[in-house]
Amino acid sequence: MLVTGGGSMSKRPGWRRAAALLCLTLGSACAHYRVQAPGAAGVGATEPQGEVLWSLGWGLVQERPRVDNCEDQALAEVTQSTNVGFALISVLTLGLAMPQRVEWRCAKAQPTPGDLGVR
Amino acid sequence: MPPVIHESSQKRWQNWHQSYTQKLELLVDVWNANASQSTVPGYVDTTQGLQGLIQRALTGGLEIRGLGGGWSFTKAPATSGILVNTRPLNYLFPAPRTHPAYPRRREDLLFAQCGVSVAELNHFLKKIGKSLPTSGASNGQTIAGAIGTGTHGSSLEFGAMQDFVVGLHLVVSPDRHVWLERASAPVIHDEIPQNLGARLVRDDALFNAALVGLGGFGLVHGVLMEVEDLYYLQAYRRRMPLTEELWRAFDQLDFSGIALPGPPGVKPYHFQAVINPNDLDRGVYVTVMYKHAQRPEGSNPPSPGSKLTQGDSALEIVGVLTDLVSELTIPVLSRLMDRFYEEYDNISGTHGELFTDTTTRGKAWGSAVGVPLGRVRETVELALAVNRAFPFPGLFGLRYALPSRATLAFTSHAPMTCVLDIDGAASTRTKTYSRRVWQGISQAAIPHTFHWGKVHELDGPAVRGLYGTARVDAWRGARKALLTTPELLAAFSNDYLRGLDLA
Ligand SMILES: Cc1cc2nc3c(=O)[nH]c(=O)nc-3n(C[C@H](O)[C@H](O)[C@H](O)COP(=O)(O)OP(=O)(O)OC[C@H]3O[C@@H](n4cnc5c(N)ncnc54)[C@H](O)[C@@H]3O)c2cc1C
Repeated sequence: MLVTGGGSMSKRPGWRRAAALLCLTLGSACAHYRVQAPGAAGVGATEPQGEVLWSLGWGLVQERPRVDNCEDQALAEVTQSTNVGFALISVLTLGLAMPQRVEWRCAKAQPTPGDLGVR
Repeated sequence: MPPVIHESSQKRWQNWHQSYTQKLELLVDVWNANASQSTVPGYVDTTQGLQGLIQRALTGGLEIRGLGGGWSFTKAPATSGILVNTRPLNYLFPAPRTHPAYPRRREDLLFAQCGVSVAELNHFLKKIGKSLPTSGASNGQTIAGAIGTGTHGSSLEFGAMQDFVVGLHLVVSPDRHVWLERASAPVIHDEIPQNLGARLVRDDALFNAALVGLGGFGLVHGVLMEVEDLYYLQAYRRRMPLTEELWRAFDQLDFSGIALPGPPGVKPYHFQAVINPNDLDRGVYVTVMYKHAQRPEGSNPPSPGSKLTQGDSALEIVGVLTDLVSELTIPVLSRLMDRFYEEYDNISGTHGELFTDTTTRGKAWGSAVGVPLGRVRETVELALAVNRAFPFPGLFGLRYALPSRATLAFTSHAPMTCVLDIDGAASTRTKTYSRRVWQGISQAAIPHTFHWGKVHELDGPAVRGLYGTARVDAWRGARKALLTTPELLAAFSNDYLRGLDLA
């Protein structure tokens, strides 16, 4: 089975993609907030996958990330980041449009042990 | 069922400590089709999935490389082609049937899929009353990634992690995968590789070379390990004055002149030191651990939730501290050490409880140079002298390992390797400082080697000079024997190997 990850911004309208790209470029200085499950549960199986999510109309429309790469496993870690570009958009639009980047790693499966065979 | 291969849209990849970014063609996460149960058919299907990825690399003229935890500071796991994240591959198969000549019990063996992390190993082994003989100070590496660069701890009775590995399942081409073990010490029952569809190859030279394979021997799909009965470590940490006697302990592991904390007259199983070169007058931190079959009476369990744990070494300390402060200066480092790296007495736990999680992602920078016993004092004094002239905000760690049989292990010195870790905040000063120490070690003609997963500045001639032409040729020869075409050799190369003239 081959599943192509819904990578960041892939299906966004042009203006939002351009704005997000601009912000990512501007946004070298980032603030991160990371929520990580404690102990072993917080060790991710996957490499981080992320999207830029927009909150529009003062929160009336809020995008949700499409998490399609976790194979029924929980999330090990979620990181939310913002940067100068994102902050600028939020301020200039008086909060009408508020982008932020969300990244996640999926948790590992916990398979039951097996038998290599040949008793 | 074929494995699930998630293709990321990311065209860049960063290692754990974000010390570099690599552009790549394709990053994939590979999951077993049935992730919840370890089965032989599932494992076999995943082997085929990995072969499909190798085929894809060959067809596209791309490099391909296995990725573990991504914890290496060097570009050992980096590739411009297809990066195969193997962390989701975590099947476990305890107690496989053994070869008639194998002298130990089959219960002492565990076969793990490549992506099983050290943390998962510790957790599972404890449940079945077993333990790893050793590991690094923390546990986020995968088993394939850890051995791939020669990860070590500081056991006085054991080598590095690759030294408990007794079999490797390597996927080397779209139509060939091999079960590799030593001819001098066969372990697995012949039928098991057959069941996996793997060609059984018993060859000491090939096995020893592939152990610390730097990702260049194909995709490691499974690792057969020899484990021990569960044991407990009784641990102590003291700040001790750097006396002549302590120097002798560091230099030769001669403990006769000093009173180590813990039961008198007993040789520790684990011994390590952390030295703050800018706060020497107040002594150095010495951690000792004694091995017991049962939890020693009257000892205390490790306290959960503390920022630093009993087994942590210099790199974990620096990682935690660089998470806490934006700039790690010399006075700040000393103050934070006082606060977070505390002395303790009589704490006991299993190996996995003492060498435990590091979730830090601070901008730390780690290097490790191996020198033989007898040259340790000279090496550390040299590093201290460089620090007097050019102080850097960082720490030294001293850890020990018995010589490895792996062809390119950096813990290869006889009678034992002492690893001098130099760990600091990632800064130009730390780099310049370390470079000066390495130059000094070289000028003093101290035999030395570098950890492949930590920062170094080796090139081809330096590798040959330090590890010896015979070892380098043996390693390269084994690679050629296993990767049978120029295309496969090219596919499993990367800039890192080329820079070392190992491709
Ligand atoms: C916080 C921290 C603490 C550390 N502590 C220690 C310590 O105590 N002792 C010590 O010796 N080192 C230590 N290191 C270094 C670390 O253990 C090594 O760099 C180790 O190789 C990292 O393992 P990994 O799983 O992250 O592998 P990676 O860094 O992902 O890969 C390492 C190598 O293995 C190869 N590889 C991985 N999986 C496969 C596979 N399935 N098939 C083929 N090749 C593969 C990669 O291509 C690469 O060449 C530490 C590093 C960090 C960041």
